[in-house]
Amino acid sequence: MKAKGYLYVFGMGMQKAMVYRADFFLGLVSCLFPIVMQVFLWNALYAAGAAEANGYTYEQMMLYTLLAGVTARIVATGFENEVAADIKTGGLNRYLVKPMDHGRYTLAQFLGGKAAGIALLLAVTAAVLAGAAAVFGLAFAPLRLAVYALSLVLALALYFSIFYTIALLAFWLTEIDQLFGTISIVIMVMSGGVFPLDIFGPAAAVLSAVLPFGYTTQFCVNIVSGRLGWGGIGCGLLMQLGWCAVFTGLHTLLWRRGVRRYAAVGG
Amino acid sequence: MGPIAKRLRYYLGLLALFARYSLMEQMEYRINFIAGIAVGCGYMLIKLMYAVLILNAGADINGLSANEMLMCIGTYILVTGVYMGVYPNFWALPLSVRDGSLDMLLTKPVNTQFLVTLRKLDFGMPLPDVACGAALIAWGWRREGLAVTFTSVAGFAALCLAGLFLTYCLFLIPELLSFWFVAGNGMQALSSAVFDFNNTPMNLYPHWVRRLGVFVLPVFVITNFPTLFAAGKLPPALTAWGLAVPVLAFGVQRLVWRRALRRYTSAGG
Repeated sequence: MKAKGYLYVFGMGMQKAMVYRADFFLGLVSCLFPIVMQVFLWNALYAAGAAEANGYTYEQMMLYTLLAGVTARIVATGFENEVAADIKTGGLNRYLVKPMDHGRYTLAQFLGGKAAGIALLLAVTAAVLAGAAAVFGLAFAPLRLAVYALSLVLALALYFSIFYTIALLAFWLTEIDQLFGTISIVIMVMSGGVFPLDIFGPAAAVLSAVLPFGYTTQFCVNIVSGRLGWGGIGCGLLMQLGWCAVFTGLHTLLWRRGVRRYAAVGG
Repeated sequence: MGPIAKRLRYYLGLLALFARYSLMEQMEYRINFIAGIAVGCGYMLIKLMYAVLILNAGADINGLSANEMLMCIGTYILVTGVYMGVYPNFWALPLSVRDGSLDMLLTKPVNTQFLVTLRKLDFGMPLPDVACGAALIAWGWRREGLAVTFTSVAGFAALCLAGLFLTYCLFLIPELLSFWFVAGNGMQALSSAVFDFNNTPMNLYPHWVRRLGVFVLPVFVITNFPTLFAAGKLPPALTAWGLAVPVLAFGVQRLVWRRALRRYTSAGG
């Protein structure tokens, strides 16, 4: 299928996301609540002088809390249940007969579905950065912001690859919905989407540096907050690319093997 | 036996039957049951991160010690666990309104709300939360050296039960909005986010947020009042409010429920 076809799929994904606009905006508003809660939590802990030991200054933690919440939302997926259901119920048939790659189709639809949300969240990110510059007097180098944008693109690709790989496990496991729930939560925690992992000690920091998940949220935020030097940023970008390649290889392999054992039950 | 007691016995018997059938159904798919426990553990992990942070900080904040805050988080985890036990019904309600499958339930000779909200009970997902919540409460209670008297334990248990009932009433209302709006995912996400404000004890929030969370949208009553009572830090007026607000919420919820049912058009049914 040519690129134009995937563009149509992208457009369809956008339309689908905007069918229920009130629902869409309520979903976006709900993602701000945990951020607000954490802002209050850190305010109280720093005011009581009980949070300095974690290695973050108040300004850094506030910036992390605000940006990690938004970044985690930007990269989050949600297509995995649909892919798994298609495999389970035979709905995959309609993709198999079309001259297109299922992975690219899913990616185009996923990006289309997220486009409006990402645009809005990027505006929120810009507002957060402007607010942080005004309130905390922080300065953000344009080059760091550009690298942050690049890391976001790679994070989005990595997150997609991870979840597409997991979704394809549905070829072997019939009931996978609950597994998605568990994996999503663990990945959210491991990505630093709730708290920066390094505040939980050196072991957590090592895990975050070695596993792919930290490169979807914590790494991106640390580029902007200035906690990473250029060496660290370079290594991180390479890790993002490397993990993207690993998961792309993995889901290509799983797709080839999975389609061979696909029985099209119910299709 | 009076008619009310007879009715109560009838509904408790039904609830026991629902529990039995739900358990039998879940035991049929054991892997799913275990996966449910794993999901519960995942959510618990996030809540425990807040507990670890507060314990590591170890400071008294706005009148509550770290151990008392641990008890608040434990209560939140416990209440969430029990709420998760009935949540499948809440989650399925918007769908049954949309596809008209509510029709069948309306024809049964039982109170419809009872049937719709309690007929499926999940046992897997709540297990880790209930166990961990109870353990945190006991640990915090012991570390703080709070007296274990009949009054403190009974008061704590009564306010926990009131909180559970309040959770049921408060968080059913957003689901009922599905009778007016077709898509309910956004509303479900929003109500979950509001409930999650209990991830941290209310003393960590500014005064105006606390007032909102106690008197306007009383989510803080659910998980903070039992600990405050056990610690002797809950004034009698607020204790009375903690016991009265579930009744008020039930009244409001019943009103919304009746109006919602009147709007039901059985589309697709």
